[in-house]
Amino acid sequence: MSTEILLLIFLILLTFPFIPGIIEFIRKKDIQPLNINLEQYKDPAFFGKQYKNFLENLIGNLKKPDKKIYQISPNTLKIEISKEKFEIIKIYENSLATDQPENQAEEIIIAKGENVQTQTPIKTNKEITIQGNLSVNHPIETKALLVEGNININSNLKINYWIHVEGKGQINNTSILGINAFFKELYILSSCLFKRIFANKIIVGKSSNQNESLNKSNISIFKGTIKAKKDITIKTQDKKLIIEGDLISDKSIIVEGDVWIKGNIFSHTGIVILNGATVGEENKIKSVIAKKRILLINHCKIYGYLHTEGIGIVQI
Amino acid sequence: MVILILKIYIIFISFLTLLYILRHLIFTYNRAFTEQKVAYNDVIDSELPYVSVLIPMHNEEKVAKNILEALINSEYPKDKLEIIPINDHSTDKTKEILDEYSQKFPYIKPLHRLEEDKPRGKPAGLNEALKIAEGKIVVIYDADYIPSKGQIRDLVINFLDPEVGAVMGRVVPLNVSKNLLTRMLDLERSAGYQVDQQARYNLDLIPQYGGTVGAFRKDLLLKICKQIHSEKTEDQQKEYVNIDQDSIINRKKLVSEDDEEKCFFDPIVLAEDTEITFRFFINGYKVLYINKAECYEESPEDWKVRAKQIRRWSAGHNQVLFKYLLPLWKSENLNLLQKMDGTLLLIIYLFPFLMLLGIIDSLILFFLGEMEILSIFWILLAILAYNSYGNFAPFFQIGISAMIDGYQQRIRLLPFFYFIFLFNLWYTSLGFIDALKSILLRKSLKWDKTERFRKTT
Repeated sequence: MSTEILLLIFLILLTFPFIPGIIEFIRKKDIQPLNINLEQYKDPAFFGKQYKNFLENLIGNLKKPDKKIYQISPNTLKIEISKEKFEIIKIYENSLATDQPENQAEEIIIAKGENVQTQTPIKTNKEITIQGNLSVNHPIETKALLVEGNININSNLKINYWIHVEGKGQINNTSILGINAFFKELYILSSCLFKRIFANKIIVGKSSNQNESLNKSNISIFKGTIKAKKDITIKTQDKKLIIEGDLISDKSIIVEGDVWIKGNIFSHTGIVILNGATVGEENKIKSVIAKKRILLINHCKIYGYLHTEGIGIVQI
Repeated sequence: MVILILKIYIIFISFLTLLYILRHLIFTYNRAFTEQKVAYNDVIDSELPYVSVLIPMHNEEKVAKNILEALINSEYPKDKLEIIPINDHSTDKTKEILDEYSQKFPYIKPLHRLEEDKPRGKPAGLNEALKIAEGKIVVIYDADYIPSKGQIRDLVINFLDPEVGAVMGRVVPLNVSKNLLTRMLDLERSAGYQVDQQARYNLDLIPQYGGTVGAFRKDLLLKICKQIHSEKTEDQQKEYVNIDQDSIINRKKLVSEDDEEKCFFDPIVLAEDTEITFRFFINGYKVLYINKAECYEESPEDWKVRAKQIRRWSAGHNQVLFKYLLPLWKSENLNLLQKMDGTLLLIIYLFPFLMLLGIIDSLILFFLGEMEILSIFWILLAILAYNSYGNFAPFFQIGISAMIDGYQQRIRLLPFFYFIFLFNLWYTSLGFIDALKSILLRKSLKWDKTERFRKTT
């Protein structure tokens, strides 16, 4: 083989690894910066707010002359979003019911009225909005639930994504609260599953009177944050313990009895709060964060936020 | 004898290279296949600390408005926030812009450093600003950064852990599409943060505070320094940490006001970020890396500007190496793995210089016909080391980071890192020589500000 051919082969082999790069450099297919949402911030009410905005825009658009709206039935509207996309809205007054008990509805449900009550079981892949209070007297399974008033859950409620309640919530029957739950106040009187719950006040089980406990003469106060690489167990029986700081552990944390943690609780594994323990205080927001599991047993109080990437369980 | 030394050096550099490869392979594996450690970002706490945001600025008229607008848009409670832009001898319209904003927003409190006799540069500017900053927590942004609405909270919330001395967010280049250099820097940044920093945090090693998109405890920085001063003065206390509060207060008078200013950042050291990383770790505190706290920056669009930047980084980093290598190994607050990782981190800007010497060494040996070093095994080792690290930097790390970030096509640019490697090799080596000169001649190095390319808005 001549030197020229060898040189040519050498040059081809030398440039070979760069060819895909040269093509990409010229064609510029992938030149956008990593997307950062500059408006993003941590807001537990995010889903509810976003959906409310979406709904307001959708309903607001009804008045626009260029909007194509079709009245399918007396309480059903079909709104054209774009050429390929439609939204169907079903509007109810004072009650919430579907035509078929096992309806796999694809419509947005809006129920208006001061006190809305379910009339039939409901199963839908879309969002339900209640413009008033809601009493869940029949099983509901839905993608998301937005309640502008209070909610009373007397039957099974299964939320697949989020629930946003602007008023108080009371859970009297077994429920699944989806990925994100937001309430003003929440009273849990029955077992439920969750991933994230935010409420100014979360009362699990029968509320114990904190002031009564404070009057006890036997109170121990610990000031400062407790941090450990191993498990932390804080348990009292006869006297009240107040911790004015946070609890942080690489392993699990158990808080049991008449214990009041005024700060946050953070664990890389699991957290168990039970039998009268309190986290946070009135008019302040504190968090209970566990990577794998949060377990709330019998009765306890949390002022603020519960968050787990694993599973959250309330056992009553 | 000379040839023997040259051969030993080849073996040494091959081993060092392999050590780095192993380190970055572990990081890559950790990031790609293991459970990731979370920080405290999910915590919602209504009791947030008062925060001072410091923005060093020197002729920043092109970018000043962008960062101020972004910070005004922040959701952090304004009654718990002060923004101190540090106008460091600017000759453009930076002063006018800052004054205009401070009139509209009372929590923007510019610090104008215009007197000729004042020392210039980021550490000197930060030191002066830290004297007036009222926040317990200090957040620092370079002027070309654009933080998101929730970023201050995302950084600051992590200080609920008393062991945390500093927190670092992720830097994301915005001007990726400009040219080949910005595209390469984007990949480099991606690997450095998405894989390297996150893995070091996962493995409880030494994640680095990067001097921007980061925060630290002001009182802790001062406390550590005072402890060091007290030790020097009294020669009594051998431990840097675990001193009770009263004894610190008693010792305060031993530290003069000048010393106190130096306590924040050593004005001679160009890499104040690396310095406080080691200061915190050596004294028993941690730096957390928060991958979620992403912030846009502007990458250099010009090779000359990049050369200056990397030379300055190298000089500063090597100054820290000279200052902290011994204290790192003496520290009783770090385990062996942390010390090893800390050492590899400290010598990372010395390594290209050592490699440059290695390449020259191998050329000399080649022309002397002395390339038979012990056995063919060592040659293979050297080639393997060079191909893994020297050609494409840790290419596997860049690849995994691109994959995690969801990049598809830009990964094809990877072979061009060979040229970046040569470029970095040269300018990082120059930076090392600068640092060496500053130590030997006891001279301060000049702070060369990175030129901005953004169009004025």
